[in-house]
Amino acid sequence: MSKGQQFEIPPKSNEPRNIEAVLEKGEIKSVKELEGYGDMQLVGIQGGGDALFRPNQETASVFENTGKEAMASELEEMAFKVDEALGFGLVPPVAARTVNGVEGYLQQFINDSQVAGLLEWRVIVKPEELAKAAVFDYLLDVRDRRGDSFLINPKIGKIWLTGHDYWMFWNENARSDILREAQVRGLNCLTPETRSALERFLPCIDSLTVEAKKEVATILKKAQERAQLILSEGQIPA
Amino acid sequence: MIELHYVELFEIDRNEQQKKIATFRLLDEDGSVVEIEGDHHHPIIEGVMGEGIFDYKYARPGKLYPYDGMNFLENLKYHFRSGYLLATDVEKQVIDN
Repeated sequence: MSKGQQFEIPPKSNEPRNIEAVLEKGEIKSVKELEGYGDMQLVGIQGGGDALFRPNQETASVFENTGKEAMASELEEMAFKVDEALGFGLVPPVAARTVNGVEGYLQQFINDSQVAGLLEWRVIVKPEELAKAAVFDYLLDVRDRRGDSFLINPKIGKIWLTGHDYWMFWNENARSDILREAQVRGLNCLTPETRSALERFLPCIDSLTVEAKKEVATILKKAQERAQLILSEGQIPA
Repeated sequence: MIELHYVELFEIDRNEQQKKIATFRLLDEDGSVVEIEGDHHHPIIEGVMGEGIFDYKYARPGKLYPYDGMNFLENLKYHFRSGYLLATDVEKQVIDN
């Protein structure tokens, strides 16, 4: 990891109690530039392990050119908060953060899992995980979910969903591979767990929408309608 | 003098180290087909060759494949953007004949 850069020093306060708080306020120990487009960095945080940092500015033009007000960090935070409201535990913790003067967001780095496309993920994945992830992708109308864009823990078949950016929501040509696989396997039916999750989620919509940019509010409003549809039909519609 | 355009693809391993898994090259003289340097049996490479990638840049329907040349090359950075897999932007190299 590279050292000697000017990191932020957070104000002294009570110790962060959870990963999100660590991502938001924890002391940054190291920053490593990653090879590849987007100026992403791997950031070491005191007491919080490592996190991927994604600058907002790298995709700002895509949002601006299409008349959208939202930023990448707001979409990923929305995805995390929806997952949190559902209680699914699919989206790694996220926090908006400025690193070396650049605005963006930090997301916990998952080092016990691999990119699903590297594995026979359809064989490895736990059916319960697939069912939950399918509900999540349906609620948010996630598009660009492919084996290259989510993680799976090969030992326990657990899914991690990441990369909720512009193209995840507005790639009109794409459909979620997770949703498709769940439907093919008949895992689109409501289970007691997913029913409880949706019932937990619906009352949270208003609080999630407070001060949200219009695109985020639109996605959440659609998620509310879709949650109600799943509950009334007992399954994710075809 | 030949112009070569290329994209490199990196993966973060479990030790949180990036390693290059492929280079996608397009020779200007040829111009049409992207050649892939790397293990063609690597599941990610097989996936890209077999299933193609979306046209993120222009949002056109359908998929792009190595035979689509520069269009394919330019879209690799959008396809591989998770961080766990990352592609570079298109780079240019001039080589002597």
